[in-house]
Amino acid sequence: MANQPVGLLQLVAQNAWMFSCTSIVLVFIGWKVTYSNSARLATRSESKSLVDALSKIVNDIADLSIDFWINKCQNSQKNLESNHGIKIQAKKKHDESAHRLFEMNVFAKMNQAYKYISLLEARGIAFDNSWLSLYPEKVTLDCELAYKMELSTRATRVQEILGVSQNTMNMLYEEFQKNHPPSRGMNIIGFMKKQREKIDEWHRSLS
Amino acid sequence: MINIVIAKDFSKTPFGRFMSDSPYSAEKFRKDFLVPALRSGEQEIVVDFNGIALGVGSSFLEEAFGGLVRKEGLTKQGLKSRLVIKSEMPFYKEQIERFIDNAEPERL
Repeated sequence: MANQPVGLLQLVAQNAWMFSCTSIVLVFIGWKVTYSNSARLATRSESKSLVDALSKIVNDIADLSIDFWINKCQNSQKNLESNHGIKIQAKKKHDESAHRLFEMNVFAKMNQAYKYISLLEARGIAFDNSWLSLYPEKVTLDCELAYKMELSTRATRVQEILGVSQNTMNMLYEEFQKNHPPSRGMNIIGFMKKQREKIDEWHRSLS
Repeated sequence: MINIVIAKDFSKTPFGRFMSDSPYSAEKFRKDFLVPALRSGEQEIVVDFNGIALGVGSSFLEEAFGGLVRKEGLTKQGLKSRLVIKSEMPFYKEQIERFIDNAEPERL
């Protein structure tokens, strides 16, 4: 019997099972890559929404603080005294409820912020807890005495609050960007140029 | 170990610095709960903030815990080693530590 040359088609026919398996494996790898990529994009978008909601709360607290420390802390109630059936406006009395209302508002927002932070931590974005302690401290410490303070003292406090608020916002977006860095388009020519510059530098350093 | 659950033992809405501000003020809390617990000689005093409605103001924390150094003459180190703060909100512990650190005794 003469030996027949083994053709490519014959080789494929003999190993058909292997090609079938390989194609199935490739399909699964492709699916996995696509799935991971969309999951990553979805997580990034959800995390971004949470960071935006958190930064809105920080802004809201800053707005509340400015309003309270500059205007509302000096709210006073008009005391009406009745004298023989005639109502006379007496000395204005400081409104004790203003600072309590302010604290309640701030803490309601802080609680919400903390929930968002927990959700972000579960997504791998961890924040430094020190802002959480510094922010309510700057905002609410001695707020019950604010009505006695000079306008300049209260304005200084507002500046401090705005400073902490600004730092907090920066920290939020920096932490987010650290975990989800922005994607940059791949530039092959640029990459080649950089590599060539590196080689040139190395070559110059030799001589 | 002494366990002080603020929401159960004191009030769910602690508020204000001095007794003149509120019936559940920091001054009252310090005098009725913290000082007796710390003077009892127990090594660990657990202060549990869980269950409080909304939150506790910074002024309350400063007067209650900073006041232990300022007005009750307790040492910063002793306080920090004996007080255990339990809370879902992580910032109470940091705030309290800072208030204790910043407080200076008012009388010698």
